[in-house]
Amino acid sequence: MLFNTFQFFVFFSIVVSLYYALPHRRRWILLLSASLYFYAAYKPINILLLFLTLIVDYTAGRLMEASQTKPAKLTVLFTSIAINVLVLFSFKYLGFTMVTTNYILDFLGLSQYHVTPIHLDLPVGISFYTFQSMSYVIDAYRKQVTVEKDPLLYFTYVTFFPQLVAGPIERAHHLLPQFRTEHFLSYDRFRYGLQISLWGMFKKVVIADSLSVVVNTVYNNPHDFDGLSLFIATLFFAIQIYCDFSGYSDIAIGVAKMLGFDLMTNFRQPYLARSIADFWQRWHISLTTWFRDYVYIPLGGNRVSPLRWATNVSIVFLLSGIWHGANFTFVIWGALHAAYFLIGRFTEWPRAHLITLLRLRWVPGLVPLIEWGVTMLLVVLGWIFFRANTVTDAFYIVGHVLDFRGANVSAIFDLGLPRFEMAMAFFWIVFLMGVDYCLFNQPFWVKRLWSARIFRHLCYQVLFWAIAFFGVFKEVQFIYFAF
Amino acid sequence: MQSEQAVPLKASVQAAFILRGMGVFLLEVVALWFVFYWLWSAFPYIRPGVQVIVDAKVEEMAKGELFAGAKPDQAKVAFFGHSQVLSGFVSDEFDRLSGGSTSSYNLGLPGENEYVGVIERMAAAGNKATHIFLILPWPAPPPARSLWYRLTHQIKWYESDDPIIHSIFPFRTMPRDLAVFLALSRGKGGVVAFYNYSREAAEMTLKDRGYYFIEGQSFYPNDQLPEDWTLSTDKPDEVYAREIVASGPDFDKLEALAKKYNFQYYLVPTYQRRHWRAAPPPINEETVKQLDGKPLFHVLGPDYWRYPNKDFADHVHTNEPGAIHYTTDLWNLTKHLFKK
Repeated sequence: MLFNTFQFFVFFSIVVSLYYALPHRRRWILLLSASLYFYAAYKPINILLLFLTLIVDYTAGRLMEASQTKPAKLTVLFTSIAINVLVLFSFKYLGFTMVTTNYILDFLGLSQYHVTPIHLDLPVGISFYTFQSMSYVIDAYRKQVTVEKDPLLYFTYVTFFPQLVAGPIERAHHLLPQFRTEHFLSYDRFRYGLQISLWGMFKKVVIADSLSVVVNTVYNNPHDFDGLSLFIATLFFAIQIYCDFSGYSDIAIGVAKMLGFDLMTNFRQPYLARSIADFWQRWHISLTTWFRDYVYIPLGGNRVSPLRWATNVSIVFLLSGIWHGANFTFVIWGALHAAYFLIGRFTEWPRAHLITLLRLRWVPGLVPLIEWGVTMLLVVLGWIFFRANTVTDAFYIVGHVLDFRGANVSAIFDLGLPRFEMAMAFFWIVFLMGVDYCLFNQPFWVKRLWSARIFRHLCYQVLFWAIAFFGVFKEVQFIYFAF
Repeated sequence: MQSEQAVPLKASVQAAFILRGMGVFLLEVVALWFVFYWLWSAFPYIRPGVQVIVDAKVEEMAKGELFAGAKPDQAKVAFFGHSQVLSGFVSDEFDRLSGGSTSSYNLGLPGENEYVGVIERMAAAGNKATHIFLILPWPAPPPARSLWYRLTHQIKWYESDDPIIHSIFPFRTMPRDLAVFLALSRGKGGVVAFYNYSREAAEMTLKDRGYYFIEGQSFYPNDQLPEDWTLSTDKPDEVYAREIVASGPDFDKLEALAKKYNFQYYLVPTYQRRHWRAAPPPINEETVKQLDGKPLFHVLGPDYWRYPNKDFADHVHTNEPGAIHYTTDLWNLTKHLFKK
């Protein structure tokens, strides 16, 4: 069930009304049933796979608690991780691995050993709930979380519908205790939940889904378009993916908030970042911190030699790329970010020296502007690989995206959006960046305006009517559902 | 069970606050809804030309006066379809050719492929048609949904949100319509002149009993496509076949309507450019087979007629001589249905 549908609106209205009408000790039954229905609505049969993950990891937690020795606990941990990874691999990477194997066999002249690729339908949200469930088992092993004895409460934690299919990837120590705490209806929480959901909905249906038309038109046939069109489609994709995914996260956070739960912040105005390291502290924070805690730190983190550290960083970014999808485009995207990150760190001193040498700080705001510009250029370059259908397409786009020779400006109206919608798209991008700037910097005048009730109501109405007038209601799926 | 910090206010008080807050928000929404609705209704001719035509025809149909001037012994012909019907069927010419034995109305609605509901509304409004001409197939029945199908497909309470949002906010295209209207009005003598022009176009369409020449898409001299004009999607060696399935909810509804309101359906040819596809067989045997034993449905002629480019104003629609050509052919095909 998509957040951006009337079906979800009705579903949630019923859930939230019943939730507060029920006594606290019965609420989890409602949440579990609602969450299972919510997930089943995508494709009922996938619920079997979800159950498999739930049962394996719940059992692993209990076995670990019962185990007396470290080797026994380790055996349970690795068995659980192996099953989770195997399930994820089978559904997400098996086909990709087989195709890759065939390429290698061709290269070695062993085409006669080709395997027939098996492509299984990817269950929605599998990467998200598998990672969430795995983190519980690892935390239980590390004794960072109390093992949950009640299986149904554990199931409720993993399947909690606001965050089930596209995160934020919640940790057990943060979310699980919230199911034991009684939540009282609170005006402030409810209002905040509605506000953030409205903003998320606006980003999804007004901005992301409008821009997707241009992005799909161009990226599905990049060779048919000139540099200017490729540039606009790439810029639009950068905004689309941000609005799509952060929009989902905002709605998830808002919906959970209305039910009395706090989910972690997943985005913090990433397009205001001034370095790649900064970008990754603002983009998909729940995944970044997951990789930090369960991959990077166990590998030694930064308390190792520079070479080993660089290897650790590269491993994390490559895994992050692979996590997003079974395609070499994602591997390259991960590798690019690893390279950005490492080069950024290794050139910190020379860059600072250069800035001093050129006296760039004499012009107020120039250094931050350059840093921001370079960061955005690198991030947007990375998005080309993220969105392109094939590596060949990606390299074609990279080679032509800044080639504006003979560009036909009127051709931008042939990218799938008529003139009015195209003009509105640019307007919304400026609007979005303005709001993000205000949210991040919180200027005094904005705070003052926001404290006025009439201004807040005006903002709510603007968002509501923007959704009503400009929203796309053709059930465009969230991009991250495919991961 | 633990308890969250001290409860600041009783739940009932919090609920009252929430309801009041949401109530205020909804009141604001409702008030603005009425303002937008009023603006939308008060200035109907800022909508795109196509929409103006659709609205005018639907309004006329709702009045139940499509055949108000017809004599009792005249056959009442209602022709349904999309913009090809709108620009191809000249009702007055058809009635002239029939020597007064018919009273016809062009109910081609641009951009609309769904006509079952329109026929229902037409009949329910008291428009007593006797002959319904169709060029488009009705929607095929949905596939049978087995348990496996249900387990492996999305659970949906309804098909799409799009019609819902359009019915809640019928004016939701207003900002776009206004922007386009203002942009176009610069080349049409200003806002007032363009507004009047749109109104006159709608009035003319009603006067011409639903026929409308789509001038806005005609970009060639004398409203004629050059004779060598083709599209890359043309397949002059292939025959296109209209696919009819004589079952399913839409077919059942059409059949029920015909019985209830006492009319019959005639699947007649549409028209295409000569380069578009190869010539079809004189009649589509598969369609005839499908409709065998369905006395309220009749197949007349091929699936389409092919006309030279000079009969077209754009790649899809006829110009005025083309419309006369099509209407004449249609009369020759159907004249046996009507007594002179």
